[in-house]
Amino acid sequence: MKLDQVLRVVRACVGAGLAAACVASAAAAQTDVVPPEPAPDAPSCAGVPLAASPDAESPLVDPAKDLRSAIADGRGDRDWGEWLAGECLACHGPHAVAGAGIPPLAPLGPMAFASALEEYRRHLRADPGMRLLASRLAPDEVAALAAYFASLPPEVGAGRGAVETPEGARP
Amino acid sequence: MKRRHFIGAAVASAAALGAPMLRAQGRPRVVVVGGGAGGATVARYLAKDSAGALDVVLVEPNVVYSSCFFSNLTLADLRSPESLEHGYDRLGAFGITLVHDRATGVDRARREVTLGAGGVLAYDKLVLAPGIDFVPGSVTGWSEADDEIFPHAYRGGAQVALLRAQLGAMRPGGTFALVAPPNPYRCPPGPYERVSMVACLLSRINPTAKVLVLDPKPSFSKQALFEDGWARHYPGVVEWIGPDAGGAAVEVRPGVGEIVVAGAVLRVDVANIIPAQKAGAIADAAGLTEGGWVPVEPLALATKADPAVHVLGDAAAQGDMPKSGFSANSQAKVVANAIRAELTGSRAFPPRYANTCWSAIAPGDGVKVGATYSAGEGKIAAGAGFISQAGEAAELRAATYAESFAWYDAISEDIFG
Repeated sequence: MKLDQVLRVVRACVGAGLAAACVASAAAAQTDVVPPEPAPDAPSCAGVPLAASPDAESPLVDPAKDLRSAIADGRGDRDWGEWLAGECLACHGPHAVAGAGIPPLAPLGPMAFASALEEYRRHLRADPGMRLLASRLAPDEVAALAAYFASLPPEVGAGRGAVETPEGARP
Repeated sequence: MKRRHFIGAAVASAAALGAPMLRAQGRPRVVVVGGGAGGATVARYLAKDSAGALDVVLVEPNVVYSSCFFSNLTLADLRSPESLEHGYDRLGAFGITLVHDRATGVDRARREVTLGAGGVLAYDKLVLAPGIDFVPGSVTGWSEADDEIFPHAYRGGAQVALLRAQLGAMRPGGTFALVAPPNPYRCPPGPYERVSMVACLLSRINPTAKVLVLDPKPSFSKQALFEDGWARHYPGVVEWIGPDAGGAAVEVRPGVGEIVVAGAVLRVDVANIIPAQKAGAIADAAGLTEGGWVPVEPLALATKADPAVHVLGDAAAQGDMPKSGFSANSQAKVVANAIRAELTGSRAFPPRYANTCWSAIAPGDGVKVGATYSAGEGKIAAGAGFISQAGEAAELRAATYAESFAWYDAISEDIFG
């Protein structure tokens, strides 16, 4: 039912003061609309496979020299990084190994991790959420995060992150 | 004499339960009320990071949590209800004491929480994460007693399943009406994602059905994105009636299946009434609400009335963050860090907050909105943000949709372990 139809019914009923007639006319207005043909690109509404993230590509740029040396020398504040990582884990999961749709953090080494953040910060990677979060991180915070993720046990992430279809989706 | 609620050998003495300030030898106790996105996260992070230095008690009446976030997707069969259910057993592994009971009162002078079963829990710090309740009388003609006829379906679980069943049984060509809530409310895009998912279902099983949205707000979250999506995916199906056209002052008649809009009586086959909202009842019982919500400080969500009580998630009037599971999870980490630092002397880090809300418009067509937040003057203040754009490439929408599924799994594990 189009809004103007509703309003037409509403105004007519209010103007006539005929509540009983309104039930009939409003119901009629709801049923006499011819259903439109589906648009050619309309979804089936029956489920689709999940796509991979467009941001899972390999790094392009290096972090700044000071940050590189801080990471290389292991000067990042791991405990601060653990606190900061809470922000990462909401999407990447507590073991930093989110499934299809969000790139995993666990396989990244500290330098690749810092590079990825630098690429988001420079808008060389697409995701607007990561651009936002990366641009809020100061270099010592990136070093702290890198130190924390580097401290996670290497077996974390094994066998996870496989592509899955939505649970409950119907063919 | 109050009956004591014994929850374990470590806290089984009367002194330990009743007189927290005298428990110099014992571990400080944090009682968390509410096991949703906020409460379960704060309990998990407190227990995990304090490594036994804190006695963390989580009070939650339900043994299974059915998430409200993503529940709209069950309406279009894009997600199974079972896939949104989470137990609390893994939280127990972190040393959290689970009390499956309802907190019914708070004696802030004595620092005690009263439980429905009659016991009390003493606390050094109390975290309330009770989510939402509905404001009685906010939708004329509807009360929670009517929710089996016109469900609200706004706390996940059985109500959402009921709405799905009603939609499945709707007569061909019938009308579904959604009464949207006024601001502020849980999950700002939620009602409109729901409209999308209902339209999605109906396009498959009942293609001549109509979807009517009755809204007291002149505009709504992600409006341009939803309206664009409805026009593309469900042309002619969804009609939105804002306050100018009578959407603000509806009267619903659950007994006869009618909704009165601007004086006209509309017959509806299925109706979803999402009333005005307020903080969960325990916040009121604790004497902490103002205008229905709990004012909190922006640094660590301590209540402005009592620094020993923190309130987070939907119940908090914290400033600019939307009421969402993501926001509650973000706030919970700040609260856990601050409480642990205060009670154990661990390092306190500056707070930082973030939120992202994904919405499904159709299968493979997802959108999102997000922002960073910081502790500002007297409130949590919004920083920079982003939002999906109308006209984005289908591939990007598909990636955003997939991202939301990955996020669901990730944050569920972050909340429940």
